Amino acid sequence: MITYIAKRLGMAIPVLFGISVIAFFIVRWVPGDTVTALLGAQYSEERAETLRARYGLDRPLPVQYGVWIGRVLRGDWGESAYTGQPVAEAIRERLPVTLQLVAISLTFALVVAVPLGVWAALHRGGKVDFVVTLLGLLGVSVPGFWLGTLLILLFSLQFAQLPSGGYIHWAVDPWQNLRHMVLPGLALSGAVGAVLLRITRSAVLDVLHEDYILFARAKGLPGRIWIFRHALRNAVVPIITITGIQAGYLLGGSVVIEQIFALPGIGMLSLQAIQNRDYALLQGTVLFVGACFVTINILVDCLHAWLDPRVSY
Amino acid sequence: MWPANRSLARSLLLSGGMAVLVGCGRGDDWMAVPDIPDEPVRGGTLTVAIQADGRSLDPHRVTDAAAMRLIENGYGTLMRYTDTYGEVEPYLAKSVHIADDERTYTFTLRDDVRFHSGRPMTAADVGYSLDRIVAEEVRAEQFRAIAAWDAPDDHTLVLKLDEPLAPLLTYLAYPMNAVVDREAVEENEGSLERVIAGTGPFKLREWQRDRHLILDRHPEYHVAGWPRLDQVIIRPIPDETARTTALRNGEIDLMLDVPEKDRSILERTPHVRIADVPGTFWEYIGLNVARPPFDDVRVRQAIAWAIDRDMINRIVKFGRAVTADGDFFPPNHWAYTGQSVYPEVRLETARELLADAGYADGFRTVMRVGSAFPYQVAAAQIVKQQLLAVDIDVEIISQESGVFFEALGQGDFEMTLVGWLGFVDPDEWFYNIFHSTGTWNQQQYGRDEVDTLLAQGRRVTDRDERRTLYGEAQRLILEDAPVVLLYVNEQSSAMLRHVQEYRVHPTATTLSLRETWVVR
Repeated sequence: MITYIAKRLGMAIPVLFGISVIAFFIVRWVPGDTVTALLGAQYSEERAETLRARYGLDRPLPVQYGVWIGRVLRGDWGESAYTGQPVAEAIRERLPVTLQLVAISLTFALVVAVPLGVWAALHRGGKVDFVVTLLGLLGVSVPGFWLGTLLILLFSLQFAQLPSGGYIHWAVDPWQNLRHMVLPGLALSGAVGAVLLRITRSAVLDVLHEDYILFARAKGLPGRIWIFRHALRNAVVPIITITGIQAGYLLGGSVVIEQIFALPGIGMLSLQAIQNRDYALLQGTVLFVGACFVTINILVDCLHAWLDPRVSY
Repeated sequence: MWPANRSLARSLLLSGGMAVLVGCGRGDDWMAVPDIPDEPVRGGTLTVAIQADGRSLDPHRVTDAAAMRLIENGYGTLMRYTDTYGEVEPYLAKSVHIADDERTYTFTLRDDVRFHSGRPMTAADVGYSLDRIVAEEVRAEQFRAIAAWDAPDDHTLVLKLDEPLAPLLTYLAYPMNAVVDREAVEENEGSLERVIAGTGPFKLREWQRDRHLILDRHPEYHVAGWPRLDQVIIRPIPDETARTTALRNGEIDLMLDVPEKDRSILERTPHVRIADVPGTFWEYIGLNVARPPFDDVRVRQAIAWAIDRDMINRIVKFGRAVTADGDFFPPNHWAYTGQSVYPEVRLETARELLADAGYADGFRTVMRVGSAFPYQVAAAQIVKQQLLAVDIDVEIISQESGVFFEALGQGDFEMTLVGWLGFVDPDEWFYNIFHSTGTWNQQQYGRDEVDTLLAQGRRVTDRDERRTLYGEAQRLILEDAPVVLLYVNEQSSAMLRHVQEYRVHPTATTLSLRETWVVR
């Protein structure tokens, strides 16, 4: 197990290196740079030159990359050119918001998708299955920004008074914090829930054909025993794998949702960094989210190996 | 099989939890249109929504509008904008005396002004602030003419200029040319990025990036009885629909912009009021006079005659902008003359001018626009249609704004459709953009008579004389048509009806918040 984890960690290093290279060069490939974004309408040649020199943007790209990655390795993620805030501090400040958002939407997705998926599998081909599959299709197809806007119009305007956005720290007021997180959590969970629903349905369906299920039912075990203890437990491995991968995608999906619901998380931070061509900040957030993704994948693999002893290291 | 009643119970539980969550709202009292008492009420909190958070809190460094909204009520300036666009009056100064040679300004300062720290403001703080503005570079240009300042006593400040500078008092009223607390700057090692160290009606309680900025009443504010509010909370809400919804359901009291797509919804909401005033944002078609065919004045005039401004205004701005063809200023600016240079569409004149210039069969050209400004892209498409009538075939290129402005700054364009905003003194409209040596002379325009008039306008302080000078300058500029004026936009804000005495200012400044009060 230990060697397995070590091997996976070792493989993460080239992946992270690749992410850093792509993050660095892709933002410079996009037209415009930090200076044109800073100056906007007040662009003039002299001011642009002064600023480019100040941010080291007049040096050759490989040199810029070397300087940046060297600092990152020493723990200095640089400063945002736009706000002057250290990148590491900015990420630390925003991380709890995004983590909470991801956790909530994952919870929503699991709570709804797994039971529905099991239910649909048990009624394969019937009306229930049809409705649930349709729901899954809908969830995958509906874009998060549309769902988010719709939820705002529905739940904070038409029906009741759930806040339309903003963030209250859980330590300040846990209740308000939760109320502010419900709608973004729902909006973000749509697509993930749909994927989990379909995975659960097909995983349970696979298991239902096994002999041991037939045996369990034949010997007269009650439904809750053979469904939960025999079918679901064996179907859980693919569900966990997909949940892990989806958690990574949620980090990306949070960019749009955080913007709509005015949540000050990593997603909003990266979007601002893109708009302002804020190189250090953008590279920092991309590298950070990439590292999160890699970590989640390693964790899922380990969990996988732990849950299913047949997985070889 | 799966028991059906259990899943029903489960979904009931889920929706029940939802109902508990939604059940505890703010109540319905904000929805009623309130009875307005005769006397202003003191106290209360006002929540204001802006589109994005500010870059920093340092007034001498920031250039973004969002940051200005965060800090302008924390600071004070020597002069202050009045409600008449372009006009200023003494604020932290009691009076100002300008010597006959117009090179010496003597300010008598108020003696009852205190910083948020409680320390009285002195002339030395004002001088220090001017030095700091120049040192921070962002607006150094505005005060370059100041050769020296002197503080003969705590409440007198003398500015000596190298040359007369008519816009000086306007610059001194710009909210970000703020008087800062020297001791507080030193305590924070020169940085005002995260503190507010001013004399304004509100002081900083806390700033959490992208969450909120909370301002508390400054109890020692020098104007008795103001501010009326106890607290102002400023919240960045980037999404337009979310912002509008937050106002409609009473989460916020005031939003500083009115998204065009949501205007009609807000107008139909009984407890919401929209306030509009002609603002600073003017838009035009820019023609690069250094590049053919726009190096020929007849071609430029032909375009000015061929454009139907009313139609563009109707389609793109829903008729809400003030069209302009001979005056850069909106009617609420003191320098407005109401003159007209291209009073109507004259396609025949345009065709004749083009034929004289040798383009009887028209020509093809390229117009650059910024993709970040969808209303300008839309206007460009209508311009393209209108110019087809005189056989000018325009190809529109829409670019990311950084790239777009870089091209304009380098003079690398033929046609463009763009705008400026934030100007207050007439000098700001013309000197940098139309003087042959101007910093942002993107059109590469230059004419000796105009240069002379603009230089004069910069030196003369008499308002009537300046109106005449600039009236003449703009007539010459528009006859040469390096730009074809389109319109001046409105500045709009929307607020709940219980918000009283918040006045929308053409420059978008929120300085009237010190007088604002709310009916509870």
